[in-house]
Amino acid sequence: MRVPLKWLRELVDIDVDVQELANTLSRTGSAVDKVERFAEGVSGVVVGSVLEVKDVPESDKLCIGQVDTGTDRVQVLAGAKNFRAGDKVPIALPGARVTTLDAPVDRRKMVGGRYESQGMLCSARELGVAEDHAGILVLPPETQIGADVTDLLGLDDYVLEFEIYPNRPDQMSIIGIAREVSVVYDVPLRPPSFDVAEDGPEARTLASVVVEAPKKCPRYLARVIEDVAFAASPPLAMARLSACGFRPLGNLVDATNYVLLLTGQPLHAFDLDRLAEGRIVVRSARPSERLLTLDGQKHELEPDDLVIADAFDAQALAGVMGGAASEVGEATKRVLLESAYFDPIGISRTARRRHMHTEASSRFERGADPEMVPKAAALVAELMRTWAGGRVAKGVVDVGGVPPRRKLVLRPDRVETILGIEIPVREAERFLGGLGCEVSVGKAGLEVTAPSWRPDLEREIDLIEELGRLHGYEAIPSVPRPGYRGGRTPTQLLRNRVRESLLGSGLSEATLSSFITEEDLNAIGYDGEYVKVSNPMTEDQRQLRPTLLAGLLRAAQRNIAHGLTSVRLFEIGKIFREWQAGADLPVESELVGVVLVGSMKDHWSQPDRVADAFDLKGILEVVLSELGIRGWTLEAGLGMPFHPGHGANIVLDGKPVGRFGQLRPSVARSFDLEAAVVGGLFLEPLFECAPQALKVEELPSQPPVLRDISMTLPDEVAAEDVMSTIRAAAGDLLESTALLDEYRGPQVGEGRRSLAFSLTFRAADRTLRSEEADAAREAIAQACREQHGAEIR
Amino acid sequence: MSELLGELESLRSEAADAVAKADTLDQVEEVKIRYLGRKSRLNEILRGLRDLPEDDKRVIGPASNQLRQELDSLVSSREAELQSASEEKLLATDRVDLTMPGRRPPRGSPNPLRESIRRIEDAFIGIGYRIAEGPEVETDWHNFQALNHPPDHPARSLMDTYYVEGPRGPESAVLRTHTSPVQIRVMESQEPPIYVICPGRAYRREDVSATSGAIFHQVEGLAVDQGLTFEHLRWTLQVFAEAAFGSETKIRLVPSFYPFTEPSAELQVTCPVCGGAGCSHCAEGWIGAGGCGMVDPNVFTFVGIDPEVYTGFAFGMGIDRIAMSRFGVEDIRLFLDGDQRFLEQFRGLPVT
Repeated sequence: MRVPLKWLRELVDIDVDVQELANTLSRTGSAVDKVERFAEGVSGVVVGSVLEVKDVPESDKLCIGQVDTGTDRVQVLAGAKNFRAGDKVPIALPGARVTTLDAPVDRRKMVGGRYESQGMLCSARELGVAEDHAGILVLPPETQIGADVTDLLGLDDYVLEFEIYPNRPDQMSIIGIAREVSVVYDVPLRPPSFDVAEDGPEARTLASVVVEAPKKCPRYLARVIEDVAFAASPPLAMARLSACGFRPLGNLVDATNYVLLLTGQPLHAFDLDRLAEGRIVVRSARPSERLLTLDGQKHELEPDDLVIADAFDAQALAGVMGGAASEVGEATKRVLLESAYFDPIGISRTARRRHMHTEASSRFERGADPEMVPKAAALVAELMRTWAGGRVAKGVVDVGGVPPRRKLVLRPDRVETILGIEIPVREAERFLGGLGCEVSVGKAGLEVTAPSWRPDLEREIDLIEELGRLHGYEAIPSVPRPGYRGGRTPTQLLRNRVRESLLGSGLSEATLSSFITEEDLNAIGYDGEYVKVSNPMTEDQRQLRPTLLAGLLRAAQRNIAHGLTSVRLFEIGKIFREWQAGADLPVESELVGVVLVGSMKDHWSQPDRVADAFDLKGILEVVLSELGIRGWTLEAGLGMPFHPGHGANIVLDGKPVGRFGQLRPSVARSFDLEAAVVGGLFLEPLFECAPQALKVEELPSQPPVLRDISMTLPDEVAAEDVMSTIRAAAGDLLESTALLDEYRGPQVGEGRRSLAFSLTFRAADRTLRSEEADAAREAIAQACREQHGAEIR
Repeated sequence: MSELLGELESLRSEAADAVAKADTLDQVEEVKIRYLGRKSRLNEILRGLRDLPEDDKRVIGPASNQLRQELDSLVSSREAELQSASEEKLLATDRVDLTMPGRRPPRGSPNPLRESIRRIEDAFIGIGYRIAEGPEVETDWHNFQALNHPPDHPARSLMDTYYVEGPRGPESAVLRTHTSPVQIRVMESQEPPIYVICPGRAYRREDVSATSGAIFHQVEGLAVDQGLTFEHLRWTLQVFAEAAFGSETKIRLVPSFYPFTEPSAELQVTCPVCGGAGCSHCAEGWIGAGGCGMVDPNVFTFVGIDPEVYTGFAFGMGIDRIAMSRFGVEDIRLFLDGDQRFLEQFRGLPVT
């Protein structure tokens, strides 16, 4: 909402610096977004009376005029010929400033020096009033000669632009803002007059109104103005409309817009002669009923849309926009003026459905002032009388009524319960009274009747908010109040443990998009279910990610494209998959995803090496061990997007909780990568298995006996299986075993490999004898021979 | 007997002399074998002790044992001397070039959003808050209705919403437009007193630019208890602002509108770039940092808490914006890019 300061000052007498005013209003709840200049610096322009006009013989375009400025007689040359002797015009005298020139206006020799122009007649654009540059701005005949045009038209002004919250329709008017100023600065509000001189026939005899949808249209009031003459509006009105961001569209439409700005009441002028039977019918649209609105859009309506129809057809989309068929224009002689109150929800639905957010709809959907309906109509009628020479029909055609004003009780102790401070009753009365409430002291507290223009004042708390903001939030002190038993949940602590573990393994934490493109789903060969977004803003927001891997691979791709040789990233985030029957929401799971690409060389002393599945396995092993999780196993052989021989599921308690492995080369290529290792773990099942207690074991008092065992085995025997066999065969004496080495080569032959394991034997209760360890090692050897076809070396 | 004693005496001086003359560890070893070895004269004497008469034994025994100990210690101290001398010699020449890089244990870079969230979490845990979480795909009820946004209410247009397809059609659920629905979930599942913050990801259907993204991160806070007032909200926000923007930060509350709080305010903080003096980053020294207010009684009614018994306050802030101001990040899109060059700059992040 744009509010010109000079217009505002007509309604409330304040004399403060505009920036100070803006800051004060912002701090008390009327948020000023910015302060702009309007017709900045226009000065030295006065009203002149044209004495005579003659064409300049040497020029087709120019004319020469003699103008009386009240004190002088001035000769001017003008490039437009839309004025005549006797017209009042704005004339910029030497030294004057206009918006279109950087320098002051000066005397000027023109047409080869033959004529001197001693000033400049101004168009609307030169004064900053409107865009119109077609001719000189001709002022009304009654304008005082010699008057300062800057004062007359409210030029060289400031415009305050307010951000309007959804609960404050009253602030979408000059009156509403003036009322705020009057409360905040404690100065009286001077409301405009709503008197109208009625000199026409009875309105009832000229038009009729039927409201078929009283829920959506609780009140519809029509006035009729006859014998109107379509013309430009008075310059002051045009200037004000322009300052507020409205384009002047001729006196009939301007009168409705002017009153809309002043009062916040949206109004519509129909050409009464184009309404069949002079009849207004407020009704639901018929299925597929058509309407061409003023903006040139064709609509196919539905019954949820409310229309203003004549005897036959829809003529306007109620509360949103008028229709082209009954638009007022140059030919209009009789106006039917609509002033109505529409139900906010209905307007909001139509405006959203049709993507038509208009000045009218934005006020109706927030809740207009039902009591303003007759007043605004009277004011528009009066303007059409004075601006367009119309005769205002007597009375109104008024259907429906005004709801009673809301009565509320404000308990003083409740104010303190919410704000923490006491607000004296006198201050409360002044604030609420200034806002338009009727306030009296009752038994339970203040009895408050809310004004009709404040639909947001419904409950006691709404009044408390008013008192708080007007008293000033900055006047409410800070009082310490800590909470109650804070801390993180086990899940949150374990998640941080995962994060610390991965950071400690050299991976950086990324946060990536929750959306995934179809291209990426295809690239990783995802064929499961996923969740779709109904209204994506762009194509790449059509799906929610069912996996973290694609996002990590795209991030890796970008990093490699930036010239990095090593990418090590993880992300902890949500994925979205199927929607189970009867569920309120789709299944959402938290995962950690990891990607490794390129060099794993961290030091000059190491050989260069490209990340492989063992790098990632090690990183995940550390995560699992940091979570205290044991007893997980691997299940080899993964499908897309993994290399079938270099990847595995991680299985815990018989359920897969994650997977990792080398990417298939073809998948890597679709991310412009030579190779990549990726993996992920579902966090919830892991956290469920994390131990809740730890008990240390007693430290051994007896010495260990160390042995190794080396054997060749067929390739298909898994190291983990051999180790299980070792553990089983060795019995209680084996404390631990670890893989020392893998070797392939000519000595072990094709299809076989050699594995070496360390063996640590210990007896808890005595010093273990060397022979006992040797016997256990022999038992291990025997078991490996029998179960795995091992040859002990 | 005196003969033997004389012999021990000469062995003593002879051996001491030899130890002193030994210049290498090998020579010391030779001396040791010669005077203390199995075939040494001293050993012979010691072994012959049992054949000596009792009186002699009583004299020779202790004397020869004492000599043996003396010689042992002479030898070991000479050994130690020589060892340290040869070590010193070696150390004098053994050098590595420690200007070459060390073997760093690998360490990843922390994420600026997570770090910002963690700081705020820690500050709130410090004043007795818990951390609550909820789903990112939300029901209309939790995201809007229970937060006092009825269907078709114009307040909904403040937040452009992504809808999710599901069994109930194209608007079966929403991508949460704020983390406030977590407040509702907490109040539905728990009795007051409630003191929680809810960090997480949220979504708004907006054009992506350098300053706003469709995906962003928020921290919401909620306190519900008896006797909570706007004064306590102000103190709590001061704690928040210091955690998020630094301990010098001052706050200001400006009236605003949110459907789920009343009174509502915008939290403004002194600009972390200029400290409040005014710069191109801020409006006269202040920046908007989030919204807050007293919980609207309607919200309490929706979740079954009696607004006549309990009061509460709520607040919410955008983490991405906080991290942008705090770390001087010019483009919000960097937070969702996974660019290691960007992330690596957050190593060694100041602790406060």
